[in-house]
This record gives sequence, C-alpha cells and structure tokens, in this order.
Amino acid sequence: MKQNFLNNLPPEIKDTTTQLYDTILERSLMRAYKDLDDGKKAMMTKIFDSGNEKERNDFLHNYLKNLENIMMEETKKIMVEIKKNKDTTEIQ
Amino acid sequence: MPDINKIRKELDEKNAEMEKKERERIKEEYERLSEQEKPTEEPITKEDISKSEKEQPIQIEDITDEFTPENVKAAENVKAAYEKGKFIEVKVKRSSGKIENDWVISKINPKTGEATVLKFTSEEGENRSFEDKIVTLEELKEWNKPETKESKEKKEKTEKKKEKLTKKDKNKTKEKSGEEKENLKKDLIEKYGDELEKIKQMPDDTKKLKKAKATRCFELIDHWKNLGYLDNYKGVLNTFSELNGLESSIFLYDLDKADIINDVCSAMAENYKKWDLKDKEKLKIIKGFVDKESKKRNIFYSKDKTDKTLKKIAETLALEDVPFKGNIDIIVENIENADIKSKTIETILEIENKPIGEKEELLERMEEDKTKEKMLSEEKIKKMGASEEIIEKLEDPKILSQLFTKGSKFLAEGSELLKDQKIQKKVQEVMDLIEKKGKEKIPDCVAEAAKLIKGEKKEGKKDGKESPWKTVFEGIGLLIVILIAMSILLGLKGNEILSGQATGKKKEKK
Repeated sequence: MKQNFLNNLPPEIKDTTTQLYDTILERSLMRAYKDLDDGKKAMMTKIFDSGNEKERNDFLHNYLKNLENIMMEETKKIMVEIKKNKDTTEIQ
Repeated sequence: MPDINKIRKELDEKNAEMEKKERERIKEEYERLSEQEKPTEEPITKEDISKSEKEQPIQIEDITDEFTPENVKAAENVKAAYEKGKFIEVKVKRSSGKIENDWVISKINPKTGEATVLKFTSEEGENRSFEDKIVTLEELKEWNKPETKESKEKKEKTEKKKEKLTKKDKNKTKEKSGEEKENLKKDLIEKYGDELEKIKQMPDDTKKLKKAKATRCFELIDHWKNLGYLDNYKGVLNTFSELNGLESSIFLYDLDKADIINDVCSAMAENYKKWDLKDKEKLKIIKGFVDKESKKRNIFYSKDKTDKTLKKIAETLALEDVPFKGNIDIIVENIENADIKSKTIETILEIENKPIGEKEELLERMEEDKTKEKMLSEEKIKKMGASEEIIEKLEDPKILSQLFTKGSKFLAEGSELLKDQKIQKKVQEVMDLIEKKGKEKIPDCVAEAAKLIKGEKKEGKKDGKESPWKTVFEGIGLLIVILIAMSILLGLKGNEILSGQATGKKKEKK
C-alpha cells in the first residue's frame, strides 16, 4: 500500500513529501540528540564519524529507542504552527 | 506383662479366618440368589441397542477420548495441505440450515475430532478477515457427501419449486399491494416533489444561502433515492440538477457529491426490478446519470471511480438475475479501464453460475459492506476536518495503525487531493513557513543518523543493504505527511481551497 501510494504521487508532491518528512525526522533526531548526556553524545559523534553500519544501527537501537514517539510529537508541533499561521492569516 | 507380639499374631490369625468365612458366605449367598433369580424382562436385543442409540445421541466426548485413526488421518491431511500453502475446501451448514460452499478447514483436533472451519470475508491481504466455526468431522462428512444423481435431481426440483413459489408469491403480493403502492406513490411523489419545489424557490445569492440550499438537496436525495423507482428517478435526477448549480457551497461538497452519486447508483440497481419501465429505458437512465456526473470536475469522482460505480451496478444487476446480453452489457461497455472491465465480466460469469439463494445472500452482504464502507469514509475523512481531532488520533497508536491499514480509502483520497495543483501550492507554502521558522544547525552525527534512517547510502559506498529503519520510518513518515496535508486542507474551508482563494495570502484591509 505504501508503495502504491508513493507511485500515485506526482513528482512535485513527492518532493514536498520528502521535504516534510526530512524536516520532521531531523527535528526529532535533534531533540533525541539533545536529550543524550555528554558521554553518549561523544559516542554518537565517534560512531557516526568512523563506526561501521552495525555499530550505528546498534547505537540508534539502544539510545534512540523512542524516536518514533518523538516524531509524532514533532508532527503535533508542526500542526500547531500551521494552525497558528492559519489563524493569524485569517485575522489579518 | 502380656507378650504383645503374641497378641498381634493371634489377632491376625483371627482376622484371616474371619475374612475367609466372610468370603465363603458371600459366595454361597451369590450362588443361592443366582439359582433363585428368574429373568423378569426380555433379553436385550440388537434392535434395543440401536433404538437406545437413536434416542440418546452419542456425545463426541464419549467416543473420542482417544486418538482414532480416522481423526488422526483427517488432521494429518489438513496439516499436509496447509504446509503446501493450501486449505481443504468444504461445505458447511449455517445455523439457518443452509449448506454453504467456500469454507476451509483450518485445523482438526485428532483427539476430539473437532474441526475449526473458516470462511474469509475479505480479499487476501495482511489483515484478511474471516468468520470461524467449530464443527465435528461427522457433521463435515454429512454436509460434504458426494451428490448422487437422485439427490441432485431432488435438489434441482426443490430449487425450481422454491423459485416458482417466490415468483408466485411476488405476483400475489404485487397484485394485492398494487392499489396501496399507487397511493404510496402519489403521496411520496407529492411530498418529495413539494420539497424539491421549495428548494428551487430558495434564494442562493450569498454563500450562506447556497450552503443551506445544497444541504437541503443532499438531504432530499438521500431520502428519495430508495423510493426513487416510484417515479423512475425523475425527482432524484431533478434534485441533482439543482445541486449541480451549487458547487463548492459547502465544506467537502465534492466528497459528499461523490458519495451520493454512488448511493443513488446502488439504489437504482438494487431496486431495478421495481421500476415501471422497460429494461433498456432503465439502463439508459442509469448510464446517462453516471455519464453526466463523470464529466463534472470532481477530484473525488475520477474516471476510475466512475468505472468502479459501473462495475458495482453491473454486479448488482447480475445478482438480481438481469440477463447480461442486451442488458448488463450496456453498462459494462462503458467501463474504460480494461482491468476493471475484465474483472467485472469475470465476476458476472461467476454470479450467473450461482444458485438463487446464494445470489440473494450476496446481495444482502453487499448492502452490509456498503454501510460499513460509508461509516469508515465518514469517520475517517470528515472527522479529520479539525486539527485537534488529528492531534487526538496521533496520540492513539491503535487508531493510527487502523488508519494506515484499514483506512486505505482515506489515504487514497488524500493522495487524490494532493494531486491538485492549488493544494500542492498550499502545502509548499506551509513547507516554506517551516523552513523560515529557523532551521537549527545540526551536528554531522545527527545528519548521518538521518541518512541511515532514510536508507541513503554512505558517500563512496556503492552497494549495501537497505537500512532496517527505512521501512519503519517511511511508513510513519508517510502517514504523518498525509495527516498534516489533510489538516491543512480540511482545516480550511473546502470551497476556498478548491476555488483557489485559500492560498495563505494576507487579506487586504478595507
């Protein structure tokens, strides 16, 4: 179904979709990164700079377990921003 | 002091002697009674046994406490078929007494001889639904007896008789209720006709008035559609003409319109035999209605949807025993999509071979599915209108997963919406706004983690496995995007989006 859905999207909206997804993912990762203690932050820098794929996956699995939940929360924030923007536009 | 061991020995000897005497006494008594006793009843015969079996059916638990070779063999057959990716198909008797095809054996308990049988109620897929039943092997044997020539003839005779009776009953009811129907027809046509006249008189100069008029039109069509056959759908179609002049007057006008078109088409097909017109005239009206509506711009009623409507009409007519040649083929030939067309013909051929009872049951099921589908559509799309509601839904993982798996209609319609250029523009504006809000500078390790999750290859690395995170987050990401897009779109007024007024530009101050 996911595949069908992607195929149904015209190229223009596919780009926007990717852009929106990237923004949510980056925001979420950034938040998860900020929540790590200094030791883990240093570990992440080291692993993602020179570590292999297994170490990277393990790190995400062990220390960024709740990324999906953070993504949901970030989505909510974006929706609130959108709503605020809409209300402001309507008042003006 | 007495010798305790001696006393014990004496006691044991005494007991042994007493036991011996007692045994002898019982034996004598038994022999005496056996000699005296004369049979007071007739000896039990084979007939008695069979009679008692008939009177008191043997309980499965009584005879199957052990593995029986028959049960074990049956269980093994089911398992072997399952390992080959197949199910053993069987006929199963419903509680209504009707023996039905298309059931499969899921498993057999070799000890109890009980079989779990399933009937799939949806198309193949991850979340395929089914109904199940526990039956005994004996019952299965009984229901699946090979048909003998005699039983086949008997069945055919019964079916013909039933068909004859149904026709006879229908004719009788028709005659009897002929007068009542005429009166009802007059009353309803008058009542709905009056309402249509009132609607026509309603002013529609302002947006608010247009909205009120459109709402009344939708309501009238909804009430009239199931009795539309009384005036051969003239009234319903006239109400549609009125509604067509009120585009974009209400929130999600196109969505409501697409739904009501489908509902009217279904009603026309379901009541096909009740119209007072010749078949060709009825078909001309149905075809004309679908043609006319498909030519109107409606993002919720694309050509594919028109084809699906025609498919549904054709299948319903086949279930009502309307002949294909010269009748249903008039509808089928208008289906443009070759796949939908061939599937429709295939289904009609299947339907034509089914006995009348099964056709009736399928018609009933079709009606139930229609109600369920409508519920999903209304709940999942209309309720998405307010951003707050979406936020609530995002908090419930169960609802989220339901939206993603069962709500394909929601996603499909969402993707249809996103194809609209004006809507794309609106989404892009929101994207720009998010970007402008200030993008934090992200550390390299975070950027690399994002790449890994998205499944992008590391620089300089040409091959490699796909990221295990990609599937999980792509799924969730797509859902999020769709929800946001729907929130943007439905949070605004439908007519503004579709007329291009809602582009986020600041309104000029007067």
